[in-house]
Amino acid sequence: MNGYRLGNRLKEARAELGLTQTELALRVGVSRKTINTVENAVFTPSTTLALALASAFERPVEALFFLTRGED
Amino acid sequence: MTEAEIMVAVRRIDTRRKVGKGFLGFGIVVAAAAAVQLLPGDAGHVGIVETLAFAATAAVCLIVGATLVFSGRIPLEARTERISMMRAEQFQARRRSAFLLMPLSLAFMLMGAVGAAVHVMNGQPVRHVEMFSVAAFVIFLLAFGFLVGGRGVGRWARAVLDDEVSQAFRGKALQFGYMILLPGVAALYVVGLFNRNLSVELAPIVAALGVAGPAVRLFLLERAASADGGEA
Repeated sequence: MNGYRLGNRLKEARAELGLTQTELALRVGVSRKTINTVENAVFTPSTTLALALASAFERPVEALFFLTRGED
Repeated sequence: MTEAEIMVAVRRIDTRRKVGKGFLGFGIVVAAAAAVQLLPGDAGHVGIVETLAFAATAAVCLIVGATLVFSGRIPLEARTERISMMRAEQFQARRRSAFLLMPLSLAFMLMGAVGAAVHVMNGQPVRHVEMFSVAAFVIFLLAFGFLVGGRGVGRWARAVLDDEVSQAFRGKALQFGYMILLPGVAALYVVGLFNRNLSVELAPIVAALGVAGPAVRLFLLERAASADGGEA
């Protein structure tokens, strides 16, 4: 969308809680692969998944995801 | 039972089921080989004793396979969401390897299918072994397409094997296959206008590429996404 990309603070949030990718995946009910790809911005999650991740951290979705201007 | 004990028990049953499926697959192949012998049209077919031996072997394999597949029950403790996901994560790694190994099997079958096409297009009668090769090739192609399309995943494994990323990767892989098949089919059509024999002989190659290409692409995407980099 016009040079916008979805950034995230998933790794930092996960580190704060001392969770591994696998533990977070089990908590959200997705694969570790999903957590890995979202974290590394390889995959843009759906609204449902973004909200589920935010819910797992008990934070608003904006605390985890943000828009950034970047090259595609 | 602890989580580790449950996983050991589940792995034992999964292995038993896998061996059972191997027996079932082998039994089906041998049964098909025996059934093909009953078809008319091949002067060089084997005798009734050999055919019966094939049929008996097939029956034994099918019975052993079905027993192994259906006798093991996954413990109730393993049906929790957490254990199911851990099990699915393990299953995913094996499935990924299968996606890479299947094109190799397809390459062997492709030789038989192309050989049969060349033989038949040169006006020679179709042989039993060629019927078998062609049937195996077609079944394998369809099964492969079925798997790359994300079918055949148990409900317990869907959270891992049919999640958003998996669906997106499958979409990319199938798109890649489409990009192979579309020019391939167009080329076959054009070649067929000038040389019908050649187009029939090339058709299995195009079909195999259209299925193997997405499988390899899916393998590469899944492998890159699953690389943990010490983060698991």
